[in-house]
Amino acid sequence: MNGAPRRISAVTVFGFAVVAALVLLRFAALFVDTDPALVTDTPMLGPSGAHLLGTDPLGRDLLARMIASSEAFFFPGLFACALAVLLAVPAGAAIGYWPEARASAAIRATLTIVAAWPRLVLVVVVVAIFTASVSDPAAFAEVRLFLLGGLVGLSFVPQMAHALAERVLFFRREQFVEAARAHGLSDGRILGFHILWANCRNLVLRQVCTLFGAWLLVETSLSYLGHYGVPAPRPSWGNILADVRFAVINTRRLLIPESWTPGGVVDAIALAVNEGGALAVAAPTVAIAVSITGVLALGEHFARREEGW
Amino acid sequence: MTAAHLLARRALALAGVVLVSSIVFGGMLWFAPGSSAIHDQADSFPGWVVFFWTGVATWDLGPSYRGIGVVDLVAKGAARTLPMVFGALALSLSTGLVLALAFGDRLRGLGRAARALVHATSLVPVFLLGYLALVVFAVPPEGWQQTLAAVVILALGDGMLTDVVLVLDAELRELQDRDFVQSVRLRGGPVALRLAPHIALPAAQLAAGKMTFLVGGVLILEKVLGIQGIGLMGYQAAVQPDFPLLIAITVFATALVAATHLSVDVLRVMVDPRVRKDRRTEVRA
Amino acid sequence: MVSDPILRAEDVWVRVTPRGATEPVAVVRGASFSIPRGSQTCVVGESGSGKTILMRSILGISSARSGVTGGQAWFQPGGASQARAVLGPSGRRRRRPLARLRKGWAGYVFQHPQEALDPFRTVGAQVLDSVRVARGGESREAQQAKMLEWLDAVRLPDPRGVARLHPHELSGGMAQRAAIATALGTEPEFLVADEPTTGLDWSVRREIVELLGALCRERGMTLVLISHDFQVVERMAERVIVMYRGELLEDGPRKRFFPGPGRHPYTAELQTRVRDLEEGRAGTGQGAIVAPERTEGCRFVHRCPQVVHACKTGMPPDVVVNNGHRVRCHVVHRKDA
Repeated sequence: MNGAPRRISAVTVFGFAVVAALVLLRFAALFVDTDPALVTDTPMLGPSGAHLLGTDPLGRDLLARMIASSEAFFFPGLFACALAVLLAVPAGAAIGYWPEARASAAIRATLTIVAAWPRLVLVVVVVAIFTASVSDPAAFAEVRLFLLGGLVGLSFVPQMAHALAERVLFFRREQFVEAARAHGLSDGRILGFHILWANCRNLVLRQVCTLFGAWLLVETSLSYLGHYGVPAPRPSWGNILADVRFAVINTRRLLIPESWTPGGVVDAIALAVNEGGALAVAAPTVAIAVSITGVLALGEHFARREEGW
Repeated sequence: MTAAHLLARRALALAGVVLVSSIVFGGMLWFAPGSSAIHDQADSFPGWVVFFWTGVATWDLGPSYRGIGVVDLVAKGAARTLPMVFGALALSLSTGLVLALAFGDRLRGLGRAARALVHATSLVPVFLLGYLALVVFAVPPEGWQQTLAAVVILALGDGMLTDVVLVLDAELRELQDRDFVQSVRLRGGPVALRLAPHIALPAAQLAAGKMTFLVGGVLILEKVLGIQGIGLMGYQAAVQPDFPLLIAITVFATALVAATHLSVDVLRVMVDPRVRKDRRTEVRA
Repeated sequence: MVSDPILRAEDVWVRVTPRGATEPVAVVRGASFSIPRGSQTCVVGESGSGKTILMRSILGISSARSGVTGGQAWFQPGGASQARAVLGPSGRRRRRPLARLRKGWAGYVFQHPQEALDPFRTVGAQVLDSVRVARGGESREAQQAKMLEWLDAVRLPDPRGVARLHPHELSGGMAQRAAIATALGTEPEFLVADEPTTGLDWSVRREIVELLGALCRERGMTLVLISHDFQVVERMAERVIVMYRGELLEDGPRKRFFPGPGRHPYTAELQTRVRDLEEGRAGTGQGAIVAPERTEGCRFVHRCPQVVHACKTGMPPDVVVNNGHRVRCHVVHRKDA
């Protein structure tokens, strides 16, 4: 509503808080003094003063690994976003502003083909081909996350470009564009400033948030499966879960107590927490769920700005 | 433009998409250094493309590295996977519709909490839901339970249900306020019956858009739960690597997505007369 | 007031929650009026005056974002000894206000004909739907014949051909005729026409309005015509209701408005502007509509040429200046008192 001060919604607060937390986490990862790869203590300890979240099945400090996990997704994710924006914005702007042009038809056909590739299938196939063909697998493991990020970004280009094109086409037919042309403004200035910057900013930001959420999903999923995600000793929220899987499933004390009395359940939970299993499952689960939800909430914030709430 | 004309054009475009996809992925394999694998199948790259498509047409793509025919493997995997994919689509669309209807009015208290719960659960990745199911039940499910678990998880995870609810809810709200619906309501006609085709179209469109996500989700979930479907097969083919099988599965997945889009077009032509024919009678009233 | 009303409304309040806002805004502020049976009543006011949402709320076909938050309304079907409450008592929201009346008892002609028809179904099927509501017991052939009869009654050329067309194949005027046929097909006693000519070419406006009037007179229907067009009002109205920013300002029989001017300064201003337009002079209106809300005194005080002190402190009371003629204005009140 014009004039009246805009009410700050819970979605906005939550979105910005989570994104700020992710940035802080990445920053903290620079200063984690415990080497996350280092075996420091007995496996599967419960929380204590020395290890706030306990240790994992190899005796590594869980908190340090949780923090260091941000390295796995942060910069590759930003790379994915940058690549997608670099490709999608010109493509979307072109097919939206010159819908009849022959080049636009070619761009549209390309986007249709890319859109038909399921994202994870694309990622897995391409990474498999690269893995099979590189001469130095160890060096490739280092850049693999960026390759993953690039592919996820690429797979997102059609969605972003189509959303943008629709908006651009809408504005192209608006009166202010006609007026700007009549005043002798160049197409570049109209498209670049008056349409893209002034009117499509929030749309692109919203798409970037959606992309980052999708990237978090792909990264943790592949890291959990183990072959194509973060290379082994380095942590990711996905492979922390994978590491603790057998320990947790074997004890089964985590959620299925011996007796289903309230006391029994409390005992089982207490035991699970003390033995470290519960936290090792809960911490990455919550981290993944909250990060994705938060990033998408920020996207929702931009969507509302876009719609002029 | 007639309906048949329109559909033929779309079908042709989709066939083109599948063809180009096979050329792109095949080309990556052919020209990647160190992968002599598919070089055994033909002498040159165009020769390989011809080999591949005659193979598809004659139901014979040669053996995979496991020694079993590629086409047979894909067919076997698809028979396990497709029911899960379409089951998940059906489940999330029907649940989404019920929830969208239930959420229709302004929400208070419990309704808001329920909605928040649905969204929060739905935003969890598929692999995590599968993992939590494993942790809770301790043993991987078998047989029909396995299929059921996979259907539920796929219908829920990766934001599936959230998106379905949000889209259908928005569509329903907009539809409910439209004048022709209000006029049916005023004369006491069957509102739901009249709404159905108008909601079916966006729902189908949504389903087609979600197909790529489902294919990705099924790849992960089959690995997590150990289901012997096409997703697990594809993942193993990628890890081994078993390139003939991998290419076949990739093209199959692309074709599946393309076919879903085509069926949406069929539905649109069936339902919406504005697409069907373009004769406009300019009679002045 | 009115001896035999078909609709009586008392102190109806309607509030709308705009998108993204949390607090609802009052768009109809305590409207009280009666519609005489068999009459042709015009509700006049500029856009945003609340005239459409008032009638739609009473019929229960308003948007989900709006709600009746106060007041009561009754319909008195012909031949019934008792009035049927459709709204209220105040604050209680009825989801289907017309549920207790005969199906199809009331009809509505919408502003945009293409919106009022289902784009996926043929015109014939939609009119047939209405016919079935009124004549459910009759044979299929009889219903079919009645459907064609309605298409003929709204003067569509070649009813058989038109029945097979979809709404997008019709021109605006034809679509509005088809929409009128769907509204009349249920054989309503009470018909609301909401600016039925706005979306149409000037050449067909008069025809549509006269068609509506003629059909209503023939069948003894009560017509409520919502309009901002004083020329249409002058041709049609037996009774006029004037609304401004959610407030009902003047309500009276035709002879109090034509040849004019009306008693309320706002009605007079509207009529002056119409005359100016007709005579090709530029409008002399006193500025645009003001945001609805935040005002102490009379709703019209921002634009009124005859402001007295009382206007700035409170909404004037309803004054009956004559038999069946009410005006809400401090100035009129003072003169009469």
